[in-house]
Amino acid sequence: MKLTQLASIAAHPDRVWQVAPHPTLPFLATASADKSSKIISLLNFNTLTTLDGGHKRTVRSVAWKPNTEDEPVLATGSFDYNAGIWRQFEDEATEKKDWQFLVILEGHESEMKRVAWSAGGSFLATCSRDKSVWVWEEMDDDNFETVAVLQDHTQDVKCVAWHPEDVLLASGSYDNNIMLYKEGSDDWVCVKVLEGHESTVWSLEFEPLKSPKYSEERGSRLVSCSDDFTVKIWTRTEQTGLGSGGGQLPSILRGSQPKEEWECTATLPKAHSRSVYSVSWSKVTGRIVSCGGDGKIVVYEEAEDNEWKIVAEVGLAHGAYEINCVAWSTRYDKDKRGENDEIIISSCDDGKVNFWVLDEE
Amino acid sequence: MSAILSADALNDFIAPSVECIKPVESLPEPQSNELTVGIEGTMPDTRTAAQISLTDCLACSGCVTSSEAVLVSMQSHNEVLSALQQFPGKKFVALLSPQSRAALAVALQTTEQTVTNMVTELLTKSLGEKQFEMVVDTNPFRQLSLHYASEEVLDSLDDPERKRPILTSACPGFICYLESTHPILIPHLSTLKSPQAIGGTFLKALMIGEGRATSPDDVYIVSIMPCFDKKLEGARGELTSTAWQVNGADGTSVRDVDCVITTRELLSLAEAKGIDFRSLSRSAQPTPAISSNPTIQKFLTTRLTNGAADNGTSGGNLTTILSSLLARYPGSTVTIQPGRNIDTRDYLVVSPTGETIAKLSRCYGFRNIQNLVRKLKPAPTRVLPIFGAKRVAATPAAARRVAAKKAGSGEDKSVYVEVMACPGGCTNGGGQIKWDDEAIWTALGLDKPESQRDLLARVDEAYYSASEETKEREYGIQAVVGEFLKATGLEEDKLVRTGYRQVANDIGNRLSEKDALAVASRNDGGW
Repeated sequence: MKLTQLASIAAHPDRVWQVAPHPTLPFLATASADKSSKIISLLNFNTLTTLDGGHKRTVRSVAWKPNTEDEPVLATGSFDYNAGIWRQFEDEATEKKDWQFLVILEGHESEMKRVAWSAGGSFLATCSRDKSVWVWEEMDDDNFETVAVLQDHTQDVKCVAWHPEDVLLASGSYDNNIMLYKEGSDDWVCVKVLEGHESTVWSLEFEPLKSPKYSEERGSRLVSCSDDFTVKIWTRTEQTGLGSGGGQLPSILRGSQPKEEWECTATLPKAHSRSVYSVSWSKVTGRIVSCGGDGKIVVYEEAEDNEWKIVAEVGLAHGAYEINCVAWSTRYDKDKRGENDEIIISSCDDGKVNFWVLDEE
Repeated sequence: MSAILSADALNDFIAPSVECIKPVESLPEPQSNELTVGIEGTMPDTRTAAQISLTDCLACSGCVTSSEAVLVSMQSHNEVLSALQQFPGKKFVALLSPQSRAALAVALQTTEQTVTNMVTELLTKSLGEKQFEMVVDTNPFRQLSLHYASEEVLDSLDDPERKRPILTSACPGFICYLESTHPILIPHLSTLKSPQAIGGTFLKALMIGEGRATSPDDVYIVSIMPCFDKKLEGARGELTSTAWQVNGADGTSVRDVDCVITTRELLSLAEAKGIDFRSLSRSAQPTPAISSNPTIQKFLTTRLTNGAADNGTSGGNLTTILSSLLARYPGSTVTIQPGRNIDTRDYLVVSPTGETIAKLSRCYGFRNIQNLVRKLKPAPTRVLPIFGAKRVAATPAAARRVAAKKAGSGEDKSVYVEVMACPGGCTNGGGQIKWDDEAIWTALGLDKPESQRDLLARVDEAYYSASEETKEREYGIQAVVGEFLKATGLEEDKLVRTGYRQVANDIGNRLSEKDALAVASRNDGGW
């Protein structure tokens, strides 16, 4: 298969750290070192809005809140230690849609690295160089409260990601570990430490439940990418306690400490010669895409159970620049081939955002 | 590289901090009275150049500052043992906290009273040539602080200048966090010293006043506490002899509490002397002769209850103040509103007509402290950016809902918050024996507890089951204080009050308990 560049936009004058396609609407949000975030249309790749003035430093991360189609909500995480919540309102009088900066979430003591909404949108997780992961809950209109401050990592926490269904949070850190957290009877606890990477874990994502390769029998999976040039897959082998998905003994019988057991079940074929900064798992095809400091974008496919092979690769995808983020997205532009068509979006240090299609050779 | 800072403690992305957190040490230029208005972020910077020294290593706010590592490491059980050898002329006194007693009661499978006997046996009889003079309970000093705490809150109701709610000042973890991260909230802090701090001043001043010591340096007080942050409190500049000494000190400042050790370190101290804690005599010990004044002596040696579960395990500030408020407003009742978790709860004092007179809250644990701090901080004055051609009026319906909710919640009636850094209160302090301290449980001949929650439940039970002797109200605190002031010549304020300051240190990014322990229990005790 081959990756062909569909479009390229000079989105920001400075590096673009992250891109986040909206789960259901044709929007793409970007996070940039120019202290702003942009909303880009996936229909025609034009910039719709620039959200700036909310942060005093680099915007490092953006995330769309799920289940908010009528009034999209975006969270931004910044090096200024704060997170921002933005909402698009429709003015009743003029029927014009405008974005408004609603809330600043303060509290972290150092640069924020990632923001992520839980599957239902009820929790927001933020992680920071201050080694902690915070979980926030929206109490009522625009009033967020800190629900947990998790200080289990011993170094800078680079990424957080939520399970697509269970209330299970994962985080990756400069301490080379991945930690999983669940809500216990009164407080959130770290339920499992996944060791295996030999260097910083830059990014992680849980397998989407809608992926054709997802199997309930095999259990949930998690993909992580690291500074050690590898991409690993972890599979859940056991879980108990509150917030667990179906099929396990109720936790009342064994005390309410939630438990999770996960194992590293695959390391994807070596493709990167430098740090792998980002991974994304497609909910349409089950393929995984990764990108890294070597400027490559690589796509992997699962042939057999846990046997992965590289199906497409493009080098120097952004010229000589390191690629910070890569994400699968539903395709909305005029040349899309059907409702389930997908593109890959990548962003890098030169401020560009590129759009790619995956074709048979 | 120093022994404290190691490669592990450094981070990959060390950006220069936006604001230099080292305080400017020169006097500021006299300010002109002209006000200028500018857009946030573009005002001219009037700060003078900051000086950074190597020992502070403030290049990034992720590092441990050397100063607090030193403060903590220099107080350990080894420090106590070497002090005993180095200063045979000093009088050694131990202060024993009820939470440490409760933890030891579970560890030694006995009652809290027996623990006092055993610790007294250890410190006053088993240490060899030089021993402690006596072991004093901190509960009497707690009773003093509770008395003044009630007074403080009642007085604040009549003082419009006083920033409300008043926040408990007994938890050094919280104080350090506030001083370094949210100094704007310092005016909310209670001006009272903690029981440990009162104990230090009380005992040293008393012994001088009664002729058993000539200077604060003659007495060496070791306090046994459930956490590490009490060590930082012990090292505070405000809690030294210069703050209270009556006859003009010779200039050297002596700490009120010379060394703080944790519950676990007490076990280590016994071990270091080759003593099996379990084998210490459990029989009643002679009452220590602390004061020659009968009123004070009775006060310091009567065992006091820790109250019931509602008091919490951090001294019971909230419930005591609540009782005083109920007494001040006859006919009023209490409504309890549980918070989102067990560490946060509101107590409303409601008048007979149903109106909220006052609100007191309990707030334990960092996650709840976050929410508290956000509520108390003045709302940001910056204008939030808006987009698009026209300004969108933020949903007025939502604004009305929020306002209505706020009015009903009695937020403006909040008078007191009992804030503690540790979820579950002081019995869950970082210096207590943890459920997974395998080595300790093995040495004690016990099975490891099922979980921290399980252990904490047992420690709490031991804590609340302490003697049910006389309650504080029968005590005539004023009489005791009166006698004390006569004997020592101190002013009341010097005994019970202290101050706070904004600090540029890293305590907000606290030393983790594990690091502190590793540092504190090293044989050389320092670096």
